[in-house]
Amino acid sequence: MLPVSHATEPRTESAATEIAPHARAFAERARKLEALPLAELAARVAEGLAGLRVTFGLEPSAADPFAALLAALPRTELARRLAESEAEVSAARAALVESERTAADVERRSESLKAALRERSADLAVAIARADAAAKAPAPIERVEIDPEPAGDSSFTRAVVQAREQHAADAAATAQLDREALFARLDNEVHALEASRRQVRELLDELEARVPPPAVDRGRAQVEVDALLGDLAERETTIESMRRDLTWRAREMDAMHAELQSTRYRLLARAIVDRAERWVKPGRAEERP
Amino acid sequence: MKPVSVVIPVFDARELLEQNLPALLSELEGRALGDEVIVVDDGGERGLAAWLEAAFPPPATFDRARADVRVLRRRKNAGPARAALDGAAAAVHDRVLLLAPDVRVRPGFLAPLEAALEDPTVAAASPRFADGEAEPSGGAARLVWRGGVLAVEPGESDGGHGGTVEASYATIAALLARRDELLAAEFDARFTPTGFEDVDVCWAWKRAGRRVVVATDSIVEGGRGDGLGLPADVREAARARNLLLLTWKHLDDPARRREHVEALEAHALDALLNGRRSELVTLALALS
Repeated sequence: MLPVSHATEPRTESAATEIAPHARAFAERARKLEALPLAELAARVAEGLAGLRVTFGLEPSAADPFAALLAALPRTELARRLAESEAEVSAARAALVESERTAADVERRSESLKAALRERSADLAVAIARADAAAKAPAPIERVEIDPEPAGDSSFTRAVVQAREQHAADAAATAQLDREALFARLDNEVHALEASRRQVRELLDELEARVPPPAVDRGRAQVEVDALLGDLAERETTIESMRRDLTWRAREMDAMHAELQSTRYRLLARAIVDRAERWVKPGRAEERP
Repeated sequence: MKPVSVVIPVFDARELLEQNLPALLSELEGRALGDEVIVVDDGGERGLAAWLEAAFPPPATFDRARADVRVLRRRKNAGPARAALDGAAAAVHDRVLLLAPDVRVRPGFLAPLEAALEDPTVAAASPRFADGEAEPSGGAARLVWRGGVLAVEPGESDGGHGGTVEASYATIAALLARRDELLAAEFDARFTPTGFEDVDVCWAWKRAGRRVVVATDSIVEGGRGDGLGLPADVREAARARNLLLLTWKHLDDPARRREHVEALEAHALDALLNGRRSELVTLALALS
């Protein structure tokens, strides 16, 4: 800022009610300059400063602030601002990538949750079906048949009979073991089903006591499934919303970047055109620095 | 003590005269030296002379103690500096006190100024300025070279210890000088409409080996309006521009000239890059 402050200078307002005539011209000139485009105003200043250098007997080579501006662009405020903006864009892009990664992670976890839910639902259905089947149809009892003793060679026949008896005894023992194992498994299955049914019954009783009849019909499992599905739908909506927001921010950052570049080039172009106009304007060639 | 011609340039400032002229007339009457007051109507609304005669009627009989109040009318408005010189040209006394219409003098303000001017090396003397009825809080403003440009800074307190202190300049709002020196110096018309024309004249005197002082026992109030009706931003632009004009007129040292131009180029670039249009306007006004 130009250090031309006047902290100790006149501050009170004038007693005059209108601008004195001799001051009007100055006020109008100031207003006209104020209305000029910034580049044109700066061009006039640049030209004036070049003249001041000549007046003061200084070398004119670096007299043009525009030349200095063009030369100093990478190091000056504009470059700093550009770098800052680019850093902002980079940071925003990184944030965007991070957000998308988070969104993908959430989506993946949601899919996993959905699969787990489907599996759990299927398991539950199978368990109920098996429990129903086991309750309705008792397990079959294995039968062992022994052929009658054949007539003929007594020793051979005895041996055969003994072998058959042994075989039959072995088979019977094996069958007995299989049967016992089957019964044991069935007993376990039945116990598990009975426990499950008890739990379902208890839940139904509890729900009947707490909610109106139509909702109770769906059963607790269905209520759980519905709740989880609702949660998933809500998460999907959130993810969609985040994705839209991130896309919008990315576009905004790109637009800001483009505008900044455009401003920079406009400024440069304007400066160069102004200089060129002054150089080629007839009768003013001598003003060329 | 010698009689003094007080010159007051005005532009539509009847209220200020009504408020401040009585204190001046009272002071002059007390001196009884036949001082005169010349109110220079700088092309303002007509009727100032008639109004003055009605508001401050002359005595029915000749009274040597009374100051003679007369009006000098400029047909075309030219600003307070030009009007002040017209008044000085019409003055009958050797010593001329330029006084702004918004200045209210305090009793005894004139004697210390006159005493200061008794020193032949002193070209101009100014009083200390008080804000209203309070005592002056600081010294006269001073101009300092800072960062390649001139800047106005408040002066340090110069106290009421009597005598004089060297000043950066004497303000046109209240300045006692010799008539012939004032007319010879003139005020530079390029400083129109306002600001630092008085500094320009004082610095010319200083360059010629003369001194400019503040008489520490002389106190006046006010003197902070320009009477031009300029909007604050335009007035500020005028003062900023004139400070540059002042710099360019008095800057001789080649090293400082280079430092100054490079500082202005840096300011221009900075103003351009940061969109500070008003600073570019100020520079354009000064450079045009």
